[in-house]
Amino acid sequence: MSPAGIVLARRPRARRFLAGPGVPPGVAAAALFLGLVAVWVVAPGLAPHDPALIRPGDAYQGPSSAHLLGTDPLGRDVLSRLIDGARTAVLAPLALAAGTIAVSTTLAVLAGYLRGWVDAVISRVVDVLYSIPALMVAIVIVGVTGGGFGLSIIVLLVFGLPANVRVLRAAVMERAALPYVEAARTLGVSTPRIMLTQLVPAIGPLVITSFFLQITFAIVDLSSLSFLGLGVPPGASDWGRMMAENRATMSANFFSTAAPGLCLAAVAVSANVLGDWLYTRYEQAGRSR
Amino acid sequence: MTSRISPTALVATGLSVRGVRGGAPVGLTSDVDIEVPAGEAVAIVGESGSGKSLTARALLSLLPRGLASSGTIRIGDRDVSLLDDAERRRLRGSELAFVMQDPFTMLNPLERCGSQVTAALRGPDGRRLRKAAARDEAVRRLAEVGIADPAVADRYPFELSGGMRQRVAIAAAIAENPAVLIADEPTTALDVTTQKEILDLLERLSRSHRMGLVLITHDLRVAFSVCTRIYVMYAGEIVEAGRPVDVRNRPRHPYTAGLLRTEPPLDRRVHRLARIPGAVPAPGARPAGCRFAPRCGWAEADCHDHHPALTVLHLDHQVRCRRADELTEQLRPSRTDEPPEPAVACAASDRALIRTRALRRTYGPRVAVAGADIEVHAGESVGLVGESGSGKTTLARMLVGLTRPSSGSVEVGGVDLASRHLSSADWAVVRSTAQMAFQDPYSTLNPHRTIGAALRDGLRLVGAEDIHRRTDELLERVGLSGDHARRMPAQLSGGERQRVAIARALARSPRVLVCDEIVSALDVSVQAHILNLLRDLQVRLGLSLVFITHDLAVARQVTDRIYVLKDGEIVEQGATGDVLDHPRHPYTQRLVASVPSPRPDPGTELERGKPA
Repeated sequence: MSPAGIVLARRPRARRFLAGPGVPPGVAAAALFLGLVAVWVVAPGLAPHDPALIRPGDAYQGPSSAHLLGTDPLGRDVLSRLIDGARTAVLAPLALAAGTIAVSTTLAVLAGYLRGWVDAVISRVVDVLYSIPALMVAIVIVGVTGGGFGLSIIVLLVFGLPANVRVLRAAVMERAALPYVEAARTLGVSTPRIMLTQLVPAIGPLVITSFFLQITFAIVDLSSLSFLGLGVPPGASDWGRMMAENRATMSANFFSTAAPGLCLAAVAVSANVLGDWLYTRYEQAGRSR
Repeated sequence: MTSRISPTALVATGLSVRGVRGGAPVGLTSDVDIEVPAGEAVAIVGESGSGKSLTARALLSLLPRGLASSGTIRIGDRDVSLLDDAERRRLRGSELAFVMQDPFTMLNPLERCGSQVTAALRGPDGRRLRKAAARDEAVRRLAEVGIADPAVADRYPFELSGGMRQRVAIAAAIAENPAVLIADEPTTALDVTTQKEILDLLERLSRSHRMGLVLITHDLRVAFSVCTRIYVMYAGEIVEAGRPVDVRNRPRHPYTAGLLRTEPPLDRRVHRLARIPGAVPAPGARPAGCRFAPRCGWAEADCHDHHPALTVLHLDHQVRCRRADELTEQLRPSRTDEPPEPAVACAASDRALIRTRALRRTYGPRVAVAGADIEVHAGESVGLVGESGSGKTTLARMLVGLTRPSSGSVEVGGVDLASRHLSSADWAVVRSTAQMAFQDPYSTLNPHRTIGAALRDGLRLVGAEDIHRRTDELLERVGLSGDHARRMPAQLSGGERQRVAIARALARSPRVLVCDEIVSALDVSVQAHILNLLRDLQVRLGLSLVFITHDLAVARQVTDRIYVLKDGEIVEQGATGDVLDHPRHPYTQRLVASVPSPRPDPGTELERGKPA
């Protein structure tokens, strides 16, 4: 009917992200890397050498077939220390982020749905926490008490709350006025049940994003503490600590500092990419139009 | 016929829109031919998924990212397809103007109305107008759209009502005297009285400015009231086109006939609303033959195999149906074969399930409900009608305990919800007496929970024994199947969601179901299904309904008695038929008069004279 179709508008451009049902390459790479690190976590025995073995004779070596990433100033194998350090580098931020988000979600749902004095108390405490620089306090508390790794995790957890509580509380307040929550109230569903079965799933995508973002913050904060010599005990093969200990001799073996640094950055970025992707998937599953 | 006298303002030929879905190209609309005479209005009518809005956007070259259109568009004597992007952009505003549905987001909230109207205007020297000149011009333009108060030019959009905003938007759209104005559902978000004013305004402007008007709407009544030509779209193509008189009185496509029949009449209550079975097929899943065949009562084997072409019947009447000639008589809208059903006389018991006395709710200085006395008896259906802001939703929310009254009393099942101390036993009585279904099908269900989970909430509270079997029963009661329980709300259509919302309310076996505008967001064919369902439930379960609506024709179909609300006060009440046929209060009279009616046309009178 029409003459040769003349294109009037922009040609369809494939959307870079989440265009089809397939997994985008970035996400696949992130998942692959995190999988590798997970293997290191569960199987530290994969390390080719004893990570704590000091051999002054092998010190300051560059990469070789015996030591793939070279050695540090004490002659310890960098790759082995990297694999051994994955445990604290990954598990600790994971636990820290999970704790932060669990507590934040609870407080946010309580404050955002109950409002009134509960909201007032939670929000003011959060405001106060917001005004205190987290890492400073962590350095002081951990440094003065010598409390070690457990205490630094608790301090960072508390100071991780404000930003998350605020974001999640706003989301809860928005959802609380929606018909499905009102319908549950009209049905007579109890308040705790509404929180658990309506509000928590409703803010689920946001909880996931916050969790993965929090992992990134936790990785950076924890390795900052390790870098400063706080938190993990001396001698532990923690990635932050490795960077601190080896940075003076970086010219001798570049990888002794770069490898743990790059691994840290890669874990953080991977967590973010994966979190973003999961969020979009979750959000789209609930979106209708 | 008129189109031959007037020069054409816009002609689109073979306009198609394509997109990509799941990696494969998908045709969204195909071969749409539209002709808009200068100074006249044409309507593109269709339900959601028909492609009417995409067609409008294709006309404007404003398609969303990822979609492409083909075909030719001529505006006046210029071929738009030959222009580049920059030239097309210049065309918008000066030759082609656009008014959107939502007057709340169309205007910039941070800019005064006057400067938004004159933003695109340039003086004879090609420069922006000077401040004083711009304001004078704005005042003049606003007066043209019926805003006589010059102070409006200095106001911000949020200071104006929805109708005023829509007027400002229209003034801004036609500021450069375009040849064509495309209005996408311009009155859907407005009250019925405002809707009439805006439609009258659009019609007047198109005549006085010699402007072609393309009205995109889902509402056949709106289309008939202002347009001289109607294009009915279904599943991405035009299935029927013609003069309103022909389309309304002699529809030749089964879909058009179906749409006309599903439209609830205002003047009488019909025994059962006609329905169109099934749903509009999604792009990519459209049948190879006639796209309407799977839902068509007259489809033959050939209909499923061959895609029919749009054929000219006579005069300006075109239809895309193989059997158009055989079905002429069957498709004629029959006005008399169904006897109007007398509204159920209020034979309901004396005992009111819900009784309010001097019920009042204020928000600061604003009065939402100012002393309402209503009663809902067992088994009856009560309507609350009024425009937005009349307090009908606040009143309904007080009936189920979602909003606390400021003063007065609300007795629900004998429990006064206004009292300070309500025990959990009192609440249990209230919950099992009155339940509510909400307006927006997209937020009535939690997007991250399954349908079954939503229904089990209520069943658990009444201590149902076999919860899964009861879930299936509830779904079947509202016309869905048991396997809907495992689906997520996103997998359901708007109508299905409203059914689930009704089922969820029924889970507590209430005696009264409060329905807050539950069909206002649905297409007319889906609306008929839901209204029929409600009437069935009323009869089968002896359920009482409190039906909140702004649509008087809908109120006519489902309610026995109505209360008319204005500014929080009940201004008129009585049996639905009496109130709508003989409205006494001026406000009710105005509401009834505002329902769009077909344009007076000489052909109509002849038609009426013939025996049906």
